[in-house]
Parts: sequence; C-alpha cells; structure tokens
Amino acid sequence: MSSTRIDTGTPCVSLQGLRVAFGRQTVLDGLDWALPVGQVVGLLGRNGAGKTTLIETLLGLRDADAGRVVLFGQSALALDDDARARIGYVPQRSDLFEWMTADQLLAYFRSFYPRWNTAKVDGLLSRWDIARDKPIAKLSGGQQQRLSIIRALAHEPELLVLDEPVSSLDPAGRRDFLRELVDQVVDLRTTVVFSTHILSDLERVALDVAFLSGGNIALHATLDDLLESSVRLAGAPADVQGFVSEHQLDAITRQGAAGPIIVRRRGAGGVPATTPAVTVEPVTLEDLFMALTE
Amino acid sequence: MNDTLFSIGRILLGPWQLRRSQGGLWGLALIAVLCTLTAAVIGYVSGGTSHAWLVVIVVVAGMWGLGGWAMLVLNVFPQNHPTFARLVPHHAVRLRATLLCAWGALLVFAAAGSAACGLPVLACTTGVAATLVVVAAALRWPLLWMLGCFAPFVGQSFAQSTWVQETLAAVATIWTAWHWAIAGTMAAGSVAFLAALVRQGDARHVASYRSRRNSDLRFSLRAAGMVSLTPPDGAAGIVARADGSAYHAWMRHVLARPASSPMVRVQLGLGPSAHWTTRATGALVTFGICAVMVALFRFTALAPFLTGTLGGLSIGVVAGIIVPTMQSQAKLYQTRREQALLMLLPGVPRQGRLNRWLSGQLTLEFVASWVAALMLASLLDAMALAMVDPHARPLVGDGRAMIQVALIPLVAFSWRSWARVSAPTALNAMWPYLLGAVLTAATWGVHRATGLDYTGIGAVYVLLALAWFAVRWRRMANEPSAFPVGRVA
Repeated sequence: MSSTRIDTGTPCVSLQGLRVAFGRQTVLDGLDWALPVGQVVGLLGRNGAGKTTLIETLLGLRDADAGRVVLFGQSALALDDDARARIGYVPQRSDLFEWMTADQLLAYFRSFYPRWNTAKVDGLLSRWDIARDKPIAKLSGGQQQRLSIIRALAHEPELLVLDEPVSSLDPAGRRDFLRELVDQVVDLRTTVVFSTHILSDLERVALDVAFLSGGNIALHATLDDLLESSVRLAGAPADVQGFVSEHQLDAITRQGAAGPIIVRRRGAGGVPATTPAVTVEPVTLEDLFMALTE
Repeated sequence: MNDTLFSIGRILLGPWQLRRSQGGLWGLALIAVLCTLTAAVIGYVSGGTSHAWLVVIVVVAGMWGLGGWAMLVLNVFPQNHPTFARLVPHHAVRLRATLLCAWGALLVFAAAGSAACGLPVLACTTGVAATLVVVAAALRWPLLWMLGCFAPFVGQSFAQSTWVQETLAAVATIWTAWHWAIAGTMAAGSVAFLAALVRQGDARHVASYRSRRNSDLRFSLRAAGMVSLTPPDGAAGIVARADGSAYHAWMRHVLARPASSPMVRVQLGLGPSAHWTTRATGALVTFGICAVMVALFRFTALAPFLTGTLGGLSIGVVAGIIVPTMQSQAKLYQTRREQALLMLLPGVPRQGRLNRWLSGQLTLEFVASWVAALMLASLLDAMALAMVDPHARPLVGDGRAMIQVALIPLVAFSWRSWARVSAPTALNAMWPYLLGAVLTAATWGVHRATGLDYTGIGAVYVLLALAWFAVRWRRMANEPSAFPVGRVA
C-alpha cells in the first residue's frame, strides 16, 4: 500500500499528525496530508470514515485533539480575513439560512467578501433555475444544493472545499455542476477538495483521489496513474503470491481477504501480462474503493 | 398470545425508553423526589395517623398513575403512524389493547385505593374512568386545555349557581337509582372512545398526523424560547410569521446598507430565534396579551376576579419577558450549522474577541429585557389599578419585585463557554425555571432573615454578577471560538 503522497509544490493545505476522537472513538489518527495549489482531489471513504470530520477540521471548524492544520501558511484556527476570503465551502447539508430568500442569502454573503462575481451569480441562478425571491426552505433539495454551490463559487475562492456537493442533484444537475467546477479550476487554478460517493463523477473531474480509511489517508494518487498501475489478480494463492513477488507489486487488498487481490505496480513501467497460472485484469475505481476502504 | 403480550409490554415501556434515550431521566427523578417530599409533608401535617398516611400514599400513587397515563397516551399518538397502521400487521389492535389494558389497570387501582380509604368504590372508579378519558381527549385535542385554564376563574361562580346546584342534586338522585347502569354506560363509552383514538391509516389519519406533528414541533420550539425558522403557510404559521416579522424587517434594513457593521450582520446570521428583534416582539406580545386579559376581566362578568388575577399576570409578564433570554443554549444550537459558514466569513472575529462579543450581546439582551419587564409590568399594574380602584395599593408590587430581583443572577447564563456547551435537552430547558424558583425562595429568605429590602438584595446580586463577569471576561480570551456552538463539547 502506498504511503501519503508528498508533493514538492507549495501546499495550499497542510495537515500534520492530525488526531480527532469522539469519546473513545478515534476518527482521525495521526493523519498527514498536503494539497498543493491548483490540485483537484476527490476524497473517498466509507460512511463514517471521517470525511466530514476531516473537512471540518481542515477548515478550522472543529478543534483537533492533536496535530496541526495550516491553510495558506496560517493556522486554520486563526485565519486572518484575507485567508478566509480565499476559501469557499459547501457543507454536506444545504438547507441552511432557510429563513432567507435566495437573493437575501447572496446579498448577505456578498456584504462580507471584498470580491464578488455578480455576473457569474446571475448567470448560474438563471441557468440553474433558482427562484430569487422564494424562501430557501421552499426550494427543493437539489435547488438548495445548487444555491449553496453558487454561494461558495461567487467570491472566486482559491480553495474550494465541498462535502458531498452533488448528493441531491439529478444527473443533469451533476453534469452542470461538474462543468462549472472544471471552468473554475481552469480559469482560476483553484484547489478543490470534494468528498463524494458517486465515483463516476469523480472519474469525470478529479485529477487526484485520496482514500480515507482507518483514520488516515490510505492512498493519495493521480487518478489516471492509479487506474493504469493497478490490476486484479486471480489464481491459486501460492501462484498469486509468487507473481506479486516476481513483479514487485504492492498489495492494495488487505491481507487475508477472500477472492481476487488488487495490486499496484511499485515503480514506472507497464503492468505484467496474464500468465497460465495468474489472470491479470484491469480494475475500476469502484474496485479500488472497495479494496482500499475495506 | 405471547407476541401480543410482548408488544403490549414494549408499548407500555415506550415513554420510559423515550425519556431514557432523550436523557430526560433526571427530570423524572426530580419530579419523583418532589412528589415524595410533598406527600411526606402532607402526611405529617395531616396528623401522621395510619389512615392519613394511607390516603396520602393512595393520592400520590394516583397522581403517578395519572402522569403515567398521560405519558403513555402522548407516546401512543406518535407510534400510531399512518404508514405503520396500514402496513404493519396488528399495529392498531395492539396499540388499542395497550391503552385499554393500562386504563383497566388504573381502574382496578382506583377501586382498591378507594376501598382502602373507605370511599364509595363504584362512584370513585367511575369518576377515575371519566377523568382518564378526559385527560386522553385533552392530549389529543390540546384546545381543551384552554377550558381547563379558565376553570379556576369561573369555576367558583359556576359551582355556586342555582342551575348547577339543581343539576348536581338531580345527578346524585339518578346515580342512587341507576348507578350500575351509569357506570356501565361510562365504561362502554370510555372503551369505545379510547379504541377510536388509535386510527387505521386512512387519508384523514394522514392529515391529522401531519398536522399534529407540526403543532408539536411548534410547541416544543416555543417552549424552548425559539421561533420556527420556516413558518408554515396559512393560519398555522400566523404566530410564527408574526414572531419573525421584526427580524425580517431588520434584515431588509441591514442588507440594504452594505456598509453596516459585520457584527450586526453576524447577529442576523444567528437566525430569528437568537435575535434581539424577536425578543422585543415577544415582550410586546406578552404585554399585549396580559393587557387584553385585564381589559377582558374588567369589562365582562369576570370583573370580580381581576384583583386576584393581577398578581399572576404581572409575574407572567416578568417571566415571559426575562426567561427567553436565558434559553440561549437551544437558540444558538438551532443555527449551529449556519455558524460554521459564518466562521469562514471575512470580518468575523475568532476566539476571545468572538466569545466576548457573544457574551456581551447576550448580557445586553438580558439587561434590556429585565428593564423592559420592569417597565411593562409596572404599566400593567397601573392600568389595572386605574380600571378597578385608583386609590388601591398595588397588590403585586412586593411579589413581583422579589421575583425580578431573584432573576438577576441568571445573567450568568450569558457568560458560558459556548464552544463547550452540549446539545440542549429537556432538562437544560428546565434549569432557568428551577434556578429562578430556587433564587426566588432564597431572595425571600434573605429578605425575611436580614430585613434587607429587595433593592438592597438586588444591588448585592449585581455586584456578585459583575465580579463573576470580570472573572469570565478574562478566561474567555483563551477559550475556543464560540461558533459553531458546542464544537468541543
């Protein structure tokens, strides 16, 4: 299993030795992670793995029991106004500020930010068909989520953190959102972290994926590289073991798991071909998700 | 058969399980201790004979039975979900069986208790049967409680009227001649009524279930001093919309001025429940209701009861205006998800500055409410006395002053470490009331023991509060940021 990715670029976000526990349950356990500027990372993990806790701690909304979070070179717990103006956040639930109308919500947030892209807001409101003068409580779940995304994009943040941003959207809405996200990344070189369970969306937009399991980032890698370098092996256990040793592969599937194992090439070069004793098959992101978060 | 008994047992234990899961067993324990103490005092005062103790024990056990009945009925209503009623086999039958079993067991207890106390068994048991049905009906249709609220005011005149006297005499005669028939009719009617309370999942059941759930939600919000963030349309939302109208007007005013202070806008982001405009509206509404009641008493047949009611109204104004300022925990918790977004906004302070700002705001709100309560209650007194007798001495001046002074130390609730407070529970909501009662008793005790007047006691309370405020002000500098409330609980 690969260790946490170390990038040589200047990190926009850096987490060191992060530990968060709820009573006796440790959710994040000495987690180290760094995100260079302009990276788009899909954060994956099972339900209850701690994705939301990680995101909230990353933003300084939750205090860690140990460790340090640095955003734009500052402690996440003491960000200055300039750093906060560079962050956009879409929380998991979008039924927020329900007593306001969409217009009031956007006017409210606009009053805090030094920069606000009114043209983009107007365009998205009209394209996503959101009634401006309707109380947020009366909007559908999907519309509330879109409004939340508009609010987070409006001040053109340099770091965009999205906690399951498309869970309430239909396929067309998800496609629209992903297009907008890609535009944002291309135009402004925004660093994006988003958690999702919809792996097909991730494959469309994420350049990197990070798997959260056991309180740590189990693997952080470029999506294309990960899919190219990982394969599923099937055969007798002794043959498979011999194959793994011979070709210097890293096992991704946990030790002792039943069924075919998923492995990853250690260095550069192609993946080995099928032999009479061991069948080599390509893997999908879903296979990797199952293996890495088991 | 075993399945049925098991189901009935589970339904009977429902209220207990609900309390346990909501962390409300402390509240029950407190009520049990208070009931036992009250019983002990009554038993002691009534001579301490074995018969007196027996009567006290039966009465207290009966009150427990009545409380348990109310909890069971209140628990059966949400269990009787329309979908379950339609799809789960035997659902409605078992709920009905549970209600009837509990009702029957209480009647057996009533019969045994009345026999032990030497009271007429059939009359007492029939009376208990009717009472249990009335309680269940009042829980199903809460408007019936309104009649109960007016009963103490009109009951005496009603009971003394000739018509009522004659009717009661006629009922007594009929009871003597037909007691078995009346008891039987009452029993059959009660069984039919209780069985009809559990419904089968038809369209009317769906509508009434939804309406009841919404009204319960509104009631629980109001009990915790909050307003609904999303008032329903139509008549049901009139009160909630009125509560938030000042807040919305203020919000439009602030949003129209982009140069307004960030903290004024942060205050708006905490929602209508936690905003001062809602407290101001609440104070005016409380005063308005009391003023209307005074006028109602003055210009109707209830006029003789006005002087006796003034004390309660005046104290009601004080409690109605000040107590909501002590329910900040629930109000701030209501918008903690919004607070997460507020914390990421430029211009919003963090840590010590935020903690002190929040405590300062809550303190200001408390002081303003305290002063408003004093002024409005005095105005109400003046108005009522002018209507009745301009030369009469204010009837409630001392009592109200005592309560108002006693509430001063509760300002300390504003200076908590908000990042560390836990989620509000029913017991949390009771604290301001319980502490208010204890402080009132203590204030009265100090007044009686030292002869110090209430103004002097109030001055001492203010000095103590200021000293504690100074201590907290220093500590707040190093405590975690208040928002989102409870983030390190």
